[in-house]
Amino acid sequence: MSDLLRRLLTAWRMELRLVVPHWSYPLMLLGWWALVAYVFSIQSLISPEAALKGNPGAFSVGLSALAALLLGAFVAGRSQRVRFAALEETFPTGAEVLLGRWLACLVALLPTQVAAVVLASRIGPATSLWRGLPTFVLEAGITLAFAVSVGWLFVTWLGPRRWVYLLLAGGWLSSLGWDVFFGGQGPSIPGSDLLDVLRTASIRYEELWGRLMEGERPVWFNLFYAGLAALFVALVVARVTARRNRRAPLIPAAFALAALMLTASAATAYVRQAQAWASQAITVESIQPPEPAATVTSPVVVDAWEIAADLTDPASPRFDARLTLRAAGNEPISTVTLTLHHDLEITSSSVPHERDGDVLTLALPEPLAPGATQDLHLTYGGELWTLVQAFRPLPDPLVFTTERGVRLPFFAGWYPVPGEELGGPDTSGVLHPPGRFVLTVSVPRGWGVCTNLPATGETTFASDRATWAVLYASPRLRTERVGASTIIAPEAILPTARAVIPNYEALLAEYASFFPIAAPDGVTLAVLDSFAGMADHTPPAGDQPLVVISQNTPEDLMESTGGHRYFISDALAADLWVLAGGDTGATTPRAGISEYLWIRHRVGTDPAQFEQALLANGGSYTAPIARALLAIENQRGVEGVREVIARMIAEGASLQDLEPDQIAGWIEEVGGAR
Amino acid sequence: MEIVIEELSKHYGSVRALDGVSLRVPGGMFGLLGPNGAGKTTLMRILVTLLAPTSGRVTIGGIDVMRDPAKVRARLGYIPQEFGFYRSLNAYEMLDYIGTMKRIPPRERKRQVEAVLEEVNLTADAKRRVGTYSGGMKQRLGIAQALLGDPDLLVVDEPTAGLDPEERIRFRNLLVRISGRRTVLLSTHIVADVEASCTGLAVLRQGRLAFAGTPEELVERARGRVWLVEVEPGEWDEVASRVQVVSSRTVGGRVQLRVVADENPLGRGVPVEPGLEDGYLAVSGSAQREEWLVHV
Ligand SMILES: Nc1ncnc2c1ncn2[C@@H]1O[C@H](COP(=O)(O)OP(=O)(O)OP(=O)(O)O)[C@@H](O)[C@H]1O
Ligand SMILES: [Mg+2]
Repeated sequence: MSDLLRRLLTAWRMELRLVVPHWSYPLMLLGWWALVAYVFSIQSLISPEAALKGNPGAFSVGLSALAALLLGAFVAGRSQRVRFAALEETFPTGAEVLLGRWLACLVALLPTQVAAVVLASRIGPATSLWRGLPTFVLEAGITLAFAVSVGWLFVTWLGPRRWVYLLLAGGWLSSLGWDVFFGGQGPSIPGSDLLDVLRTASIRYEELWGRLMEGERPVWFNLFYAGLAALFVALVVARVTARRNRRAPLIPAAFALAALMLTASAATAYVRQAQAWASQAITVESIQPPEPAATVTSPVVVDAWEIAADLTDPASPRFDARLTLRAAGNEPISTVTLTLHHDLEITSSSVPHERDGDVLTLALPEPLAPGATQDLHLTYGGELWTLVQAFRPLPDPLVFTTERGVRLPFFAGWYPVPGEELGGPDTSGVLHPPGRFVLTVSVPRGWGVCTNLPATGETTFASDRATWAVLYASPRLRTERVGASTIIAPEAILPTARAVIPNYEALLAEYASFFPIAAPDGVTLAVLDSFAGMADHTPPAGDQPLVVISQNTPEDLMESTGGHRYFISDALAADLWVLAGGDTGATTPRAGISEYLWIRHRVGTDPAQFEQALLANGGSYTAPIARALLAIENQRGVEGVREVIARMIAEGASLQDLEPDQIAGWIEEVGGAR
Repeated sequence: MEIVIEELSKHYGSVRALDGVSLRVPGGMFGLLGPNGAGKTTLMRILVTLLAPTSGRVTIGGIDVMRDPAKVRARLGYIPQEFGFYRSLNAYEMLDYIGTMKRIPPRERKRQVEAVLEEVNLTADAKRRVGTYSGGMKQRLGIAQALLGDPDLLVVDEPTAGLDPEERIRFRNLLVRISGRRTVLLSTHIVADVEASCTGLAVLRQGRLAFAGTPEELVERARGRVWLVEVEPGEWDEVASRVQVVSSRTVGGRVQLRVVADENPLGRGVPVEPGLEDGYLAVSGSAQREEWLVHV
C-alpha cells in the first residue's frame, strides 16, 4: 500500500515538475490573473465572500476551467507525444500513475484562483473572506477537476491530436452560452441551469442571506460535477487498465457506477428542487413595490400591538400577540376581520375565530360600541415560505422562515393586520392605520434582527405610530450605532456603511432646515437584500428617517451620480415630510419638494443652472413645483421656503388633487411671490 | 528465462503481421532477424505485454503473458524501437523516476541508478538534460532504464538503427556484457549485430518463421549455394533479377557479385565459403524471388 502511494506521489511530483517550470505555465497564470483582476476592477463589490461566491469568483473559476480542459488533455497525451508511453506501459504500475498525474493537474491549476482570493481579501473584513474561502476553494476544485477529467477523457478516447484542443476550447466557449440558451430570456426549463458548468446564470448571492436564495441547489450542483469528474476519471482508468491488464476492470467499473449514481441522484435532486420552486412560485411583474400609498380601510383599527416573536427555532417561529382592537366607525361591531398569513397556525385565541386563507374572522362575545376597545390574545406559529417568479430565471423566496434566516416583509402577514388586504411584492404596499407597536424578539445566539421600529432595548422595539412592521433575522445581521445614527447591515458591510453615514447626516441637516421641525439627530440606515419587502419609501422609524438600501453596494450611494444618490435624497426628503406631519398619500407635493432640494443641493440657487439641471433630470412631472420653490427662495430665502412647506404640509391631501402647475401657482400665491 | 511462443498470430485487418509463429527461446542472447515489416516489433510488443495477439500463446518463464501481464512486467526490461524521455529532465532524474515505477525500494534505487549509469557510461552526462543527448546516448540511456530492477528478460528492438559504426560496435559489446545470466532478445535487420554475440537466432519473413537455430546452422543453410561471379555491367540486371545478390564490387571495369543461388549462376560462378549473411539471405529472400530459394 505504501508502495502504491509512493508511486502515486512520484507520478504526481513528476508531473508538477514537468508542468510548472515550463514557460507556458507562469505565462498562463499571469494572463489569467490579469483577466481576473480586470473583472474585479470593473465590478463594484460588497464583501470578500460576495466576490468569491458571486460573479467575479465564478468568472475566475470558469476562466480556469478552460486552462483545466487544455492542461488535462495535454498531460493525458504527454507520454504518447514524447514516445515515453511504449516504455512506461511495460512498467509494473497501475492506475496510481494516472491518478497521480491527474492530481498534479488539479494542484497546478489551483494557483489560478490566487488572484481572486487576494483581490477579494482587499474588499472587506477577513471574517467574510474566511467564510467564503472554503466553499470557493471546494467549488473551484470541483469545477477544475471536472474540466481536467473531460480533457483527459477526450484524449484517452481520441488520442493526443491537435484538434482535440480545438474541440475542447470550442466546448468551453459554447458552455458560456448556456444561460443564453436556457436562462435569462424566453421560456426557461427549471433545472436546466444545472448544465451551466461555469455558473454564469445560476449564481444568486445575497450578503444578508448568503446562498439561501438558491436553496439546496448549490450542494446538488457541486455533487453533480464532483460525480461527473469521478465518473470520467473512473472511465479513463477502466479503459486503460482493461487494455493493460486484459481483464474486465471491475474496480474502476464499480467506481464509475457509484459515480454515475451520485451524478444521477444529484441531478435529480437539483432538477426536482428547481421544478418544485418553479411550480410554487407566484409570478409577478416586478418584485419592487412602489411606495405604499394606500392605507387599509377597515371598520376596526388596532390601537396597539404587543408581539413577542420567538425565533429561537427560526425555521418555525412562534408568536404571542396581544392586540387592542377599536371600533373606528359609527356602528357597533360584532365580527372583526383581520389578515394573518395562512401558514401561521393559531394555537390559542382569546376570542372564537374562523379562518379562510389569509382572512381571520373573529366573532366578538358582545358587539363593540363605536370607540370602544376589545383585547385580543393570539398565539400562533409555523413555517412561512413564499416564492415569487419575477424577471430572474429562477424564483426567489421573498417570505421565509428557515434555519438560515427569517424574512418577514410588511406584506407577509406575520402579525394580524386590520382589513383584508396585505398588498404584495408587486402591488402597492398597504399600510395600516397607525398604532402603538411593541415588539420583543428572541433569536438564536449570534443572530441579528432588523425591524423598522426604533429599538428600545437589546431585543425590544417600539413605536407609537407604527403603520407597518417588518422583521428580518439573520446570523449575518448586525446593528451598530454611529453617533446619533444607526446602521443595520450584514456584518461584512458595516465598515462601508459606516463610511457613508456622515454623507447622509450632512444631507439630512441641509434638508431639515427647510422643514418646520427640529432636525432629526441622525438616520437609520438599513442595508438589506435586493428584494422587495421594505417599501421603497419607508416611513421614518420613530423620529429618525429610515433609509433602507436594497442595492448591494452602499459605497455607490453617495459617490456615484444618478439613481442611487437621488434615491437617498428622495428617501430623506420623504421621511422629513412625514416627520413634519405630512400626509403619506400626498405624493405630488412631496415629490416636488424632493426634486427642489435635490437639484438645489447639486447646483445651488442660480435660476439658469437650476433650470438646466431640472431639464437634465428628465423634465420631470413635478418640475413646476421645484421651480416655484426656487423662486420663493430667491426672493425670501430659506425662511420663506420653510413657511411655504409648512403650509403645504398643512394643506396635504387637498394639494394632491391638483396638477403640478396648479400647485406651483398655489405656492407662488401663499409664498407671496411677485 | 525460457520464452515459449505457440502458434502466435497478429492480424491488423487483412495484414498478417504475425502468422502462426512458434518459437522457443531457451535463454542467453537470442537474435531476431528479419527484413522491414517482417513482424519483429509486433512479436516483441506482444512479449512485453503492450499488444494482445489475435491468437496463440506466449509464456515467459512459465508465466502466461496474456493472463498475467503484471507478473511479466515485474521481470522485464524493454527498449522499444522508438521511444523518448521527458526532455527537460536529466538522465539521473529520469532513471530515478523509472526506478520508482519499477518498484525498486528507495534505498536500493540510488545505488542501482548510479550502477546502470556507470554501466552504460553515462555517469559524466547524468546531470545533462536528456533533450540534449545524441542518438547514441539516448540509446544507452534506453539500455540503462531497461537494466533498472535487474530484469531477467531484456527485450531490445533494433537498438543499433541510426547509430554510427563505432557507436554500434560499442553498443553491441555493451549488450554482450550485460547479457550474463539474463535472457536477451535482440531484434535487428543487421546480421553483423547478431553474428558476434547471439547463441541462438530466428529469422522472420512476412510474419512467418523462416528459420530458428544457431548461427552455425544458419550458415549451413547457404553451404554450396554461395558464389562469386564476375559479370559485365550490362548483365547485372539480369543476374540480380534471378538470384540473391549479397554484395557487389567493381574490379577493373567488371562487376564482381557474391550471390546466393541453387545453381551456378551463368555457369561461371566460383563457389565460396558461406557466412551468416548468406545464410540469412538464403532464408529471408524477398517475395518475388521465392522460387529461387532453397526449400527448407
Ligand atoms: N498498428 C498497426 N496497424 C496496421 N498494421 C501494422 C501495425 N503495426 C504493424 N503493422 C504491420 O505489420 C507488419 C509487421 O510490422 P512490424 O513493425 O512488426 O515489422 P518489423 O519487423 O518490426 O519491421 P521494421 O524492421 O521495419 O521495424 C508490417 O506490415 C506493418 O505494416
Ligand atoms: Mg520493427
